[in-house]
This record gives sequence, C-alpha cells and structure tokens, in this order.
Amino acid sequence: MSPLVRFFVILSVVGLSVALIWPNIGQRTIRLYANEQIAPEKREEALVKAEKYIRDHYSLKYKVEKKTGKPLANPKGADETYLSITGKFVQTAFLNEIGRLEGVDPDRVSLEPMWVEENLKAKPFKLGLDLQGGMNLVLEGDFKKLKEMLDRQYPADMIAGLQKQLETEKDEEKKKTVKNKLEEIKSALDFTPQRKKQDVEGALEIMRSRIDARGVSEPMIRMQGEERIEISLPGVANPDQAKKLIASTARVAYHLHDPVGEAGRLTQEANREFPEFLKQVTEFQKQDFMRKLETKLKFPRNLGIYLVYDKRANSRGVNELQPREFMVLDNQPVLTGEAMSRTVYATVDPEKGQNIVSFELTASGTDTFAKVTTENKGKLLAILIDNKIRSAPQINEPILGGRGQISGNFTASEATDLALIIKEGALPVPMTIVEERSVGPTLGQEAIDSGLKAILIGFVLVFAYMLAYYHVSGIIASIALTINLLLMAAVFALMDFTITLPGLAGVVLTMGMAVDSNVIIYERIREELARGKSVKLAVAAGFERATLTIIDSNLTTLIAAVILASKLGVGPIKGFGVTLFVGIVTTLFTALVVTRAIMEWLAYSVEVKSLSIGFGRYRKASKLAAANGAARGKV
Amino acid sequence: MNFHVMRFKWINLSVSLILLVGLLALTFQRFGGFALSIDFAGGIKIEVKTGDKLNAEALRNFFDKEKIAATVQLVDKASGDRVKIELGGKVQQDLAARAEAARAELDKKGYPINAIDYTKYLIQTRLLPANAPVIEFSAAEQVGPTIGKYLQTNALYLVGIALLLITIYVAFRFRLNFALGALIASVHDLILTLGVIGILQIPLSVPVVAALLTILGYSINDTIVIFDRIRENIHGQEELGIEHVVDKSIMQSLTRTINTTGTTLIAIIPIYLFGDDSLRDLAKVLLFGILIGTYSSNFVAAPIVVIWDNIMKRKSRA
Repeated sequence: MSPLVRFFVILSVVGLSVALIWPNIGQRTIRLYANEQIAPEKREEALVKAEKYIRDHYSLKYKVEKKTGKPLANPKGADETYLSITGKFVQTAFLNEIGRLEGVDPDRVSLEPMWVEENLKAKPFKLGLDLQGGMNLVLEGDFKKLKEMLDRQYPADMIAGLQKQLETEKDEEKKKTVKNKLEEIKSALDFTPQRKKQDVEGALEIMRSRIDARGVSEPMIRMQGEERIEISLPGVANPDQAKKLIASTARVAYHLHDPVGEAGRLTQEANREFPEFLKQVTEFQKQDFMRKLETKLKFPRNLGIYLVYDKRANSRGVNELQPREFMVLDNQPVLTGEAMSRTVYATVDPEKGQNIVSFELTASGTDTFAKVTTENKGKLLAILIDNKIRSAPQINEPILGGRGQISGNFTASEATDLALIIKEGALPVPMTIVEERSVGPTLGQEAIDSGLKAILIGFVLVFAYMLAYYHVSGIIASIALTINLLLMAAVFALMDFTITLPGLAGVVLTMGMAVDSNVIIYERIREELARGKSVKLAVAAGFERATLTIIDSNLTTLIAAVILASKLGVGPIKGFGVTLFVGIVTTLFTALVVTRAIMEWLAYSVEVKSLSIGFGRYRKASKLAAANGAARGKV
Repeated sequence: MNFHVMRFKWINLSVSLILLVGLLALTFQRFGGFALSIDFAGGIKIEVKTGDKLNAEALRNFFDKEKIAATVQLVDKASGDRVKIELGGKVQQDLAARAEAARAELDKKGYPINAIDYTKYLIQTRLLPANAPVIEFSAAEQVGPTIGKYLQTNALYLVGIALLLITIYVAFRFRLNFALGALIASVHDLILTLGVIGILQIPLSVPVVAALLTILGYSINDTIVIFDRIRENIHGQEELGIEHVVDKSIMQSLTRTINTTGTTLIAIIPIYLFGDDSLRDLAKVLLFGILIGTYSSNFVAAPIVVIWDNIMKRKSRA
C-alpha cells in the first residue's frame, strides 16, 4: 500500500469513529416537558423550577431556554411549552437527574436526534447502573402468600362440600364436573419444586413484557436459580414506580351489585360507619374494621364490603386514589381478567372523552358476559382493580358482542398500564424483592466524571513519559494511543455495549498494553539503530521483529478475553472481557497499522536521516548508520 | 550491563513460595480471612447526602441507640458531603425481622417491608423531625451473599478455562516448558495478589475481581513478550546453554519491561488518587498486582522454563 492510501484508510477510520461517538461529545439539545398529569399552572411552575435548578447547578455546562413546540414522540400533538437545554458531552445520567425533578415527566425528557444517529446508527453510550444510575432487583416467588391467597379462594369447607357432593352426586355429568373442579383445586394447592419453578418462569415472562412495553432502555431480566428473577433497569429515574409496575399483582374482576336487594340495603347501613372507617390509619386496621363491620351487620356469606375509590387532589395538589364510600358486592366475581382475550387496549371514550380500556372477550367469556348482563339488567356491574372499585356502571342492556370497556377516571398512562396488566394477566405467584441496588443519577454522574478525569490525567502522564523517553516517536505513540481510545469508544457506541466501572478498568489495561506495543516496536528499532543500521532498514527490521511479539502476546491475552466475554461470563466479568477484547483488536490495528504508517512515512517518504527515538548511544549510532552498515557488510 | 538473573532462580522461586504461603497464612492468622464487601458477605449499604440533622456523628449515635451495628463513614464527593452507612448480613436479617414485626406501621407510611426500607424508615421517622422532607438516598444496596458466591465460582471457572486454553496455545506456539512457565506465573500472580489483598484487608468486591482479571491479562502479556525474546535468541545459541539465553533475553527486554510497567503504573495512579471509592480499591490492587505480574514474568516464568529444560536434559543424558 502506498503511504497515501494508508493514510486515507486511517483517516477514514478515524473520521468514522468520530462520527460514531459524536452524539456523546457534540452539541446536543435536550427537551424537558412537564408532567401531563398535574394541573397546567403547576406544570408552568415545574418548568420554572427545573430551569432554576439547571441554572444553579450547571450554568457552565448547559444553556436553558423556554420554547414551545410539539412533543417529540407525538408530532401531531398540541403545542406545549418545554425547556430546551443545550450543551456538549451530554450523558444519560444527566437526563436521569433532571427527569427526577418535581413535576417533570421522566419519560418526556429526551434528546433531539442528531443526523449521525439517524444515518449512521450512532448511539449514545450505554452506561451501566454504576455510572448512569438505575436499579437492579432480585425478586423471589412468595409462595407463602400465594398459599394464603389460594386458601381464601378455596376455603376448607368449600373443598369438604365438594368432596361430599362427589360422594353423594348421582348424575354422572355433574359428578365429572365436580371431580374436575376438585382436581383443579388440588393441583393449585400442590407446591412441587417443578411447579414453583414454572410459576416463577411465568412471572418472568409477564414482567418482561411489562418492562418492554414501558420502553426501559436496555433492561436485563433473567432467572437466578429456581425461584428468583434478576432484573436490571439502567437509567430508571423512578425506582419506586418501576418496582410497583414490575411486581404489580393487579387483578381485574367484575362483581355484581344489586341496589334494590340485600346488597343495596347493607351498603346503606355500612356507609353510616364510613366516617369512622376513615379514621383508621393502617391498612391492617382498615381491613379489620371492614371485616368486623360485616360480622356486626350479619352479612350473608356471599356478600362483602368493598371500597369505592375516586381520584382527588391530595394536600400536595397531585391527584391520588382515595376511598369514597363502601359498596356491598357479591364476593364471587362474574368475570375476571382471564376471560378477556389478548385484544386489550387503552383508548378514549368518544362520547365522554375519558381514558378507558377496551377489551374483547374469549369465547367462553362472551357467553358468560352475555348471560350475566341478560339476567341482571338494572344491577350495577362493579369493576375492581386490585380489589378497589374503580367504577360501577349500570347494566342497561345485555352485552352480547363479546366486547366491553373499563372506565375509571384513568390518566392516559394509567389506562395503558392497566391494559398491559390485563393483557399479560396477573403474576402466577406474588413476587417479593429480596435484593436491590439503586444508584442515584447524581452519584452516577460523579462516577463518570471522576473516572474520566482519572483516565484523562493518566493519559497525559503516559504522554509525558513517552515524550520524555522517546521524544518525537513518543508523540507518535501518543497519537496512536489517542486513535486507539477513539476506536474503542466508536466500537462501544456501535455495538451498544454497556460501559461499567470494571469496563473502565479494562480501558486502563488497554492503555497499558497499547503503549506496550509501541514500546516493543521502538525498542526493536533502537536496537537495530544501535547495530548501525540506517533509519530505513532499522524501521523495516524493527517492525518485522516486533510484529510477531505483539501478535503473540496480544493473541494470548485475547484468549482470556474471549473466554471472559463469552456466554459463560456474568455481569461485570463479561463487561470486562468485552472491553479487553475490543481493546486488543484496536491495539493491533493502531500498533501495526497506524504507528507503522507514520514511522514508515518518516523513514521512506520524508527520508529522515536520524530518528528521534530517545537518548543515548542509539541516536549517535544512527548518524553513523549508513557508513557503518556498509562497512560491516552483512547486517 | 549484564545481570545473571538465572543464577538466582532458586532464590527467586523460594522467595515467591514463602510470600505466597506467608501472606495467605498471615491473612487468616491475623485477620481471620479476607475482608468482604457486601457483594460477598451480604448486607446493606446506603449513601445519603449529609444535612442539618443528618451527619455521621448523629447517625452513629442513632444506630447505637437503636442497637443496630452499623459503620458510618463520611465520604466527600464533588456535589457535597455524603455518609455511607454499611450494615452486615446478620444485621440485615435482624432488621428484616423487625420490619416484619412493624408491618402495620410501615404499611401506613408506604414503606415496603424489608430491611433496607425499614432502615430508611427509621432514619426518616426517628432521627429526623416529623415535618422533615423525605430524604433522597443517593445509593442504596441490599444484597444477600449470593451475588458474591455466584461471581466467585463463575470467575474461578472462567479463569480456569482461560488458563487452560492459554497453556495449550503457548505450548503450541512455543514449547511445553514455556506453557508451564506461563501457567505457573499466572497462578502465582493471582495467589500472591490475593495475599496482598488479604494483609491490606481490601474488601473483596466486584471491582476487585475485575482488577484480578486485569492482572491476569497483563501478566500473561508480559510473560509472552519475554518468552518471545527467548524463542528468538534460542535459535543457533543452544550451545551457550539455556540459562545464558534466558539471561540475555531478560536483559534485552529490560528497557521495555521498565517502560511498559512505568507507563501502566502512571496511568493507574490517577485512578487511585481521583477515582470513586470502589475504583480506588481497584486501582490499589492493580498497582501492586502489576508489579507482581512484571516480577513473575522475569523471575518466575523464565526460571521455570530453565529448570524444566535442565531436568529434561539431565533425563535424556541419563
């Protein structure tokens, strides 16, 4: 290859690398919108506060101004005021940090896309939990709680009753149904290790779809052993909200309420005690109060007291679900989420303009629903989410088409979440959090800053060392090192690799090994010069000898890197392995292509008479090079 | 300059062996084993920004009063002082039980029932005044010892496979005795570094494991460079004797050894000085680990090549 072609290749590689990492270093604009779910005047206030926060903390780094425009995600939406924040070196940790400010919707803090992102698949670096903040959860199946729930669903006397019925029943058809029912109950109550594992795996799949639908960037969800699930959500701004969504065991159920019958009467009586109920503080006390009230009012077994919730502003001005009154319902639901097909979606009621969840029923669900709505005209059909009554519309006419909707004063995102939960069904077993790591974005940003600062200072020191020892050649080595780091960064950006603290350690090792390659080359050239060779011959021989050494030593380390980066590796070990792997490949390129191109260009094209490659006898010898070399004859 | 390293090969190997055994023995005898971070031992770690009522002293007194064994440490960060609270695995279990007992109270305030949220709850409700704003914890971890165990076995397993493959590769590219030298030097580095970690009582954590892997990679790289020189010099110089060739190779590589180790070390020093807490441990381990790696390439790997060669020669003569 002619030097020109070589330089062209190197320049294009460097240019491409810069383009790939440009989203991380170039000027970017962040848009920050206020939370839709708070009152308009509060939104304005939130923006003012956010603006002040950024001015106070980041006045040097970012410029803020207020702008009006359509939301990025929804180009057809209404114009809205937002904060436009411009600055360089934008990191996700910063987005996470401002996403947590009061009144800001973290899902609507985003970067305006750049042309390199649209055309070159360049992406911002993915940072690990330790660097950008986020959370890592390990959840365990709570089979104790599941058993409690099942015991309530299938009380002992109910099983005994069925057993008795099985013995006395004469009708073969009915006997079979009872038998099936008993077997179903038996299998539900049987906790074998296999079944436990199955339940947890089922829960994992559901959690995965919940998280995927939420658009969390780079989630990791997997089984850990038999009964545990590990989830990591980098950059999640609101750990509590995420915890809720993931572990939600929300169930949807329809229960009947007969306003003119027993239920209506009991509802009135129960509601006389409602003010007293509101004085109860803990969840436990509340439940206890309701159960005692049921006994006091001599409730029949099939009825129970439930709470009607609605949304009202709390003391902080944020809408919150709060109990409004009691309603007495049939304990047995007429329809549950299981009867709904997977066609469930959030939509807007065209007449009332409310957010609702619309669903289609399964075949058997359609039959049941048709039957129930035909037989119970005039009664109320209460919709319970997590045992909370969210709405109770009256049945005016039979619903035969197998379609239905759930209304309940939802916000758009609540409706979406609910649709999701119905679609995926309830978790087969409730999950409890046993391990948790969360890192706030501020801390992550500091880890990045201190890590980068350390690498940068290290780089400068290495540069100084190389310059002091190898003079001009030291500068060439530093250029090679710079290109090396650039290439590594570009590869990371391209392969969507998550950078973690141990990964940064891998970068340091790469710096050491990259410099090592140059040192090996230079020492060889110096030896050749010391033997009296000319610059041209010394460079040629030096590279020839050094290449084998560099390839051998790097390939050996590459074996270790491949093993650590392989599927066998876990978490931090894998991350370290990948960094090392990339670093070795880029080192081979920079040492054997970049350094070589520059050195050979100096030797052959510029035809320098002496090479600035350090002190001592080598240099002196090199000046005598040609004569000596010729005099010795064979070299 | 000529320095006959191989003349001292037995001394070097003995010193290494004494250090290997001695440091580990000292670790277990004086400190009762390795210090463990919560990655390995399980436990709770919380970081919170210091404030009016929330400072190291107050927290220490508070935990004393609540009879919770905790270490409270001040860490200074760019964005202001923070305290780091660490609770061991036993305390964690204890707190989990207490949280269970106080379920009703926690439910009321909207805290999940587990050890870490109970700790947060205690700080919020019992240390701070009733009307204090909800404190935001900048980092919170609660782990069982499972992650550490998993990591330990996984790392050991992977290192084992990597070493095996490297040995095969080196045996193939060089000779069997070189492979043996590389293998023993690598294992030597890992164990010796662990020994130093032990007597300095650096807590074993995920970054420390990463550092150990780094040292492994570095040491192999370093060893191969020396081996490469030996391989090159051995051709046509066999009559001089392997010891002479190895000595010569080590001396020829000396400048390279010093410069490479030097540059790597000065790249690590800033990490030690400016790095985050966990990075600082990593840098500390790297600093002595890399010195150990450099030492072993010259004074462990190379002597083993020589000794093996001598044994083989004696055998073939006999």
